[in-house]
Amino acid sequence: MRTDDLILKCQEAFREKELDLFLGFERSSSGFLKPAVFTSLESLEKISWDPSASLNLATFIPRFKGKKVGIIAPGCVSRSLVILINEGQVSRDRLTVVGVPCQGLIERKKLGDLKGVRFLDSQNGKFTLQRGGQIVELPLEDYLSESCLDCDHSGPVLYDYLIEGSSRKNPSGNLEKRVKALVELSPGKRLLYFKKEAEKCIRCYACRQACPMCYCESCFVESSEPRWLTAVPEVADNLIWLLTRVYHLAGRCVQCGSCARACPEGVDLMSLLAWANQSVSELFQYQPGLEIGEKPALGEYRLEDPDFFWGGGLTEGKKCCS
Amino acid sequence: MLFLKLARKKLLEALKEFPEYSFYTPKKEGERVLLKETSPDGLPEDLRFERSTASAKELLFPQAETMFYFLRYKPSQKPVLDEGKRLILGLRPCDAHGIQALEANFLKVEPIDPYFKRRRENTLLVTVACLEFEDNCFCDSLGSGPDRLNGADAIIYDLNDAVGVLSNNEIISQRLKDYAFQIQEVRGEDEVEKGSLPQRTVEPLPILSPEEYLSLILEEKLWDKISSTCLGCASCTYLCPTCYCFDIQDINYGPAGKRIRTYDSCMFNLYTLEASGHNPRPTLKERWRQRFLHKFSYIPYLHGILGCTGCGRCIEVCPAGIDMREVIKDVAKFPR
Ligand code: SF4
Ligand code: SF4
Ligand code: SF4
Ligand code: SF4
Repeated sequence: MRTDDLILKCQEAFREKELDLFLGFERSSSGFLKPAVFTSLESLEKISWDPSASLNLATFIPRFKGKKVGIIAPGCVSRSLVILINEGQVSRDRLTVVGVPCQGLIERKKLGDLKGVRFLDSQNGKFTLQRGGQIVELPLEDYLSESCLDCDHSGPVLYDYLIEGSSRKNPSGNLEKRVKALVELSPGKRLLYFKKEAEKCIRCYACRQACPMCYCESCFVESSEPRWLTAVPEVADNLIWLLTRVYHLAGRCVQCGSCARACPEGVDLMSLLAWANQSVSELFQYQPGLEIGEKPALGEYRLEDPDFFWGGGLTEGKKCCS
Repeated sequence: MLFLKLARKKLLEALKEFPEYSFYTPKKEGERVLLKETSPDGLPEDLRFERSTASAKELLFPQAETMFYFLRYKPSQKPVLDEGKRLILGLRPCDAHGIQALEANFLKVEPIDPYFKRRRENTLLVTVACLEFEDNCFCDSLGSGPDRLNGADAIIYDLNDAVGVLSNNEIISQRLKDYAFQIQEVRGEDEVEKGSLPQRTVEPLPILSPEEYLSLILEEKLWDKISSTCLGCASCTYLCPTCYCFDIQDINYGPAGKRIRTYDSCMFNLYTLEASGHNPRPTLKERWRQRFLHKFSYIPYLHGILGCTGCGRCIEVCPAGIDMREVIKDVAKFPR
């Protein structure tokens, strides 16, 4: 994928669809890509896309209600858009999607001491960083985020314009294996693992804010009547926060990893999310964000569903629809 | 103020003269550099420490603390004060500037905050002058480093074969005196030998006056642009050494309970939300304006120091890649 092609295609979309604004990335002072809102054809000359991007841009969609918005989208972002459409957060005709190929995104926390270093570019499975006069070339595969290593939908599922190029193949299956190992642990040991993770959380809510599926205007953590948890970042309350969020995302999360990359403390969010998604996929044969018009797995009831639907007024043991 | 010159070994010895204090130094733990309790015996010979992920704020104004306990019908409002004595060693001059900004808010204006006050009284803050700039810091543009004493009790300078300690604290001066080979009464940093200081090659950032910044308060376009990709998380303000907004909650256990306070953040939806449902800062535009003007206009106007230390922590942590240096430039560029 060449940046020139991307610029031309996005400008074409902006012109043809008479867009109000365009969501993409531009180079930051550190060389890593940062999200940007483009409001003119000329400004789109700065649009860029490579593995140094981090956020899922779909997270910005709900703030532009009523506007005609363009957006560049690799696989996971396009799936988030499908869910936002299905959940009534944006209408398809306001949205113009430029699909982009994706080689996976860098997890900056993996860079360790190189974190603050300048990003130069990425080509052929490598990327280069610069510190002072020194140039370091690193293999992309070693620094990709866990979600990207495991990604099985790297190409866009929804688009109006498409930039040709190759996307990452061969999901590693590591995340799946990690979830399996956690499920096989005894409940006590599993709790111990998640307590350790929860200990790190400082409740900055960067994960929630970085997530396109966390669009609730008022989140349960902020409710004071009832109050589900206190603002003290201690293990018990942190677990309530992390686990409840995961429940709210079961069958809605596209495993883009935006939350995990945004988390300043490196809390293991992906294993919980992947576990919830796997459960939904096994129980309901459902993968989120693949088809427009589909109802959310936990938002409808089907006769083939594996469990009873316990509703008000029904006697115990009776299936709701029989 | 006293300037003391000591042999490196002597300083390490002298640091054992503070038995009633627990020592805290930056220590690398996985990805992060935390402020950890350590023993004065295990200090690194060169007295160089990595820059800590969090600043001294963490120890003087923690993210969560109990203010007092209460019983129904019998409110006892005696503040629960932290009596621990701490010597924090190895932070940077910018962190001491951060403490100065917190002092301005908690100690210089009524009501005086008893929690911060007691912790500050019980803390000795000894910083180390920086030998090099980190990737994201810009203290030199703000006048808060890399060789300034700021709000520290003492600062250590590397003089190659010896160390210089500029002390603004009676306890430190007294206990170091016998170990020094040279002692000098001075008025400030500018009168002392500081060894080699880091050199900056990039141009300094344009910093305006509090009034000039304030004149931009109604420029919606400016704040809109700056905040357009901000997520509204609190990564930046939690880590910022000068952000001090807090929230108060009561936690009830039946007839008893405690009142706690925790960090708030101007980047949150709930910030300044009034009981009526009205919020004078309804969107990220107003919230970012608050964050910026508080640091660059209100605090300087009220207290005569900048509310930003130039530490660069917010730059490093921001998941949206927002860079305070770029924001400072954008604001200065905006037509006034
Ligand atoms: S929970 Fe995380 S991985 Fe899942 S959609 Fe949200 S940001 Fe992406
Ligand atoms: S999991 Fe990470 S990003 Fe989310 S609130 Fe906790 S520390 Fe912040
Ligand atoms: S605003 Fe950023 S650079 Fe300034 S003191 Fe706070 S964290 Fe440091
Ligand atoms: S860390 Fe960045 S995204 Fe989060 S509130 Fe601060 S500026 Fe906004």
